[in-house]
Amino acid sequence: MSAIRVAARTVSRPPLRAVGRSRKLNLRVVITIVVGVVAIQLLNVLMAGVTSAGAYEISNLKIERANLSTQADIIGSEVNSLSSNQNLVNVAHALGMVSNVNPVFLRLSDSAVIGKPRRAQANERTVSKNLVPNAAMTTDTNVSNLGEVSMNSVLGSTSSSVGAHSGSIQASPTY
Amino acid sequence: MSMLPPGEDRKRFSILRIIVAIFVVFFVGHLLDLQVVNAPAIKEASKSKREITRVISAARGSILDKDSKVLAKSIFRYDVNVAPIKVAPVERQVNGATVTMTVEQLATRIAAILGKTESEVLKQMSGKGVYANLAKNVNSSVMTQIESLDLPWLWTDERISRVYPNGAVAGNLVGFITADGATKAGLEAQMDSCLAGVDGKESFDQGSDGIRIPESAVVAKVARDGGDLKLSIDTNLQYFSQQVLETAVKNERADYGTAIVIEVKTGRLLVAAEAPTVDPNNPGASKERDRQGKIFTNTYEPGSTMKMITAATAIDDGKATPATQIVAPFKVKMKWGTWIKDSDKHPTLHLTLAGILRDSSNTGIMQIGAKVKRSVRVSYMKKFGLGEPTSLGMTFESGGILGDTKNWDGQTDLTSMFGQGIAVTPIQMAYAYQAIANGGVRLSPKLFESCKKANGQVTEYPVGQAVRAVSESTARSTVDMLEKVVEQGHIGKTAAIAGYRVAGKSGTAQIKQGNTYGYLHAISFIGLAPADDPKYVVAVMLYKSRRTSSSIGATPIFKQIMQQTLRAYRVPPSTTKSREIPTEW
Repeated sequence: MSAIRVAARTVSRPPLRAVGRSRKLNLRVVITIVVGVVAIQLLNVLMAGVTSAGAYEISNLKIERANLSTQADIIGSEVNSLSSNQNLVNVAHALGMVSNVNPVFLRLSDSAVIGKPRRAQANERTVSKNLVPNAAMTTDTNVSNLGEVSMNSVLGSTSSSVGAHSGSIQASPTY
Repeated sequence: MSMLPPGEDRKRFSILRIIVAIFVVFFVGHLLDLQVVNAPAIKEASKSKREITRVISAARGSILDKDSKVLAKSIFRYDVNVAPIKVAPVERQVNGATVTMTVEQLATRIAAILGKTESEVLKQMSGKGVYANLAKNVNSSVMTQIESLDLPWLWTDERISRVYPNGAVAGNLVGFITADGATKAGLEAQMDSCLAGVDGKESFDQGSDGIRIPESAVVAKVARDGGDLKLSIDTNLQYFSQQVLETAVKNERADYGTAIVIEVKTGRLLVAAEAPTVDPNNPGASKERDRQGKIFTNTYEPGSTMKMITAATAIDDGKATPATQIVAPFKVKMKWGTWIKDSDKHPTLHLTLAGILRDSSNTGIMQIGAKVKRSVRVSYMKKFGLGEPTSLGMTFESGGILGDTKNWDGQTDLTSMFGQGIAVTPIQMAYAYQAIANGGVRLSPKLFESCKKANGQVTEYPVGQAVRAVSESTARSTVDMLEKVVEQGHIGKTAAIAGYRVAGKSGTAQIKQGNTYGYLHAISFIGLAPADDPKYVVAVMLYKSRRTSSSIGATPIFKQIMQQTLRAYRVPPSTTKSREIPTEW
């Protein structure tokens, strides 16, 4: 029986050579798979790095946006306060401004002057201090500084060219 | 393999099968446990570890004036909180050296930022608690200063709040909303359907470092911001009117004052001012009675401003003309025993209807009014807008009181002709004069212009129907007569504005105290200008004026507000003269 088995083994040898070729093929397949897996893993790590960096960037940008929004909020509140009727009236009062209740109109079609021009009388309608409360006011105009700026602006506007001023808004040169 | 001798393949396979079977049973069992038995719990636990859900707050819309100036808007406010149990000194680098800041030093800094005392802050910071509130509703500036301290046990929580940049300007109309949003008043409550947004909800995953994972957000419910409500109010003119009223109420020691400005041709309400009123930023600073508008809710007996309606009714009903002659004594005794008198003693006068209005004669106007059937007079009152609320449907709005007109007693029938025994709201009387100024057509008040939703869709608010109160010629005749009041009337003259033709009527109405009239009055003046082509109506009223008991206390307010209105809207001075009408005979 063992002789027969030996003979049979001898007979079946040629196909075994093919196994040798298939081992080479398998090795290539294994190498391809390993390289592929490693490549995918590397790609994964790379992607994770990129997306993670994006998340931090987005997070930082959001913080920056929030800070800018807060700054805009603070400045907006100041602008609201400074431009409020309450602040403007207080400033007008502090400067001793008088409301002229006699408007005069110039009709362009025939150049007619409608109304009688009259100087504003100090005792007539001096702007009173603000009486309407506003708890939202966060800041007031510094009247002592304004007085100085205002006079300079008015004087400057009549004696120098437009745009010669710097640092303050030029007062209207009308009277 | 060495344990089994070669050649026992079957035995080997059997052992292998058993091992594989054990593994299969173990893994299938575990799989079932994970995927079926405990699946929901595991899923939930996993989700709760990585998923964060938050409410997306919808911003409430703004309230704007006619020029889109902001009367109310939503902003961020912050609560400043501390964890007392963790309060400890901190180290800071100052000029390269490490300096330890004590709790007391830090409390001083915090107190300075919050406007509190150091001891107050120290008291709030002490204890074993994990949370204590140091300040509520602070603004962004304060929040930034607090955050810059960079203290691990001190933090701020953001919340959406409401701010009213113009303070008490139109506070009586705008109303307010408390910080927690629980209490609303005025238009903040009434116009909630436009202003309120709908909060949304989103969930997102976060990494182990707490940073949100990009693209992981799932919006479960989209937030819808509220709409912007645009009003017809002119903020500048409203402010001016409130300034004037505040001064007048203080000088006259009145309970309160109201001022209304109407654009005649459109019915737009430019001013609805009151003093005192509420600063919506700080409602608690106002008395409870001043936290709601009075122009639409409070009634008063109009007094002699009512004579305009009686005169216009008689003319329109064909029972009188501006020149109709009447003998007007100082007082007349009624058959039921009471006396009807004029306000000032005078000899018997021979007046026309125009003269009756000029002198504000009660005895004269009741003779004119008596020419018209009561039912007709009442129907005209209603056409002028008395007896029912305006189409604006303001919260708690009153329709005034005409009473059971069919069963008026003789006294009420007569006194109603000069504004006693009936009650009106300031807005009703103002629009009665708007009708006369507008050629006899009373327009419904226009206060709400539009609602602009966050998606840009603009919805214009409809206006109530216009009502023809009297004919155009009657309206013109009435304006002509009212002009004589301002040109020649003792009180009316004080309402005159240089350069402009002004028409108007004063009212001094006694105020009932119990069953009788007391010594206090509601003094008023309602006028229109320019009389040749009326553009604006101004109506002012002081309630319970204690210094001046006649409408001469109201005319300076009217004059100032009308002057400012004409100037603000660039109305040129009149170039014509008033119509000649006899006032006496």
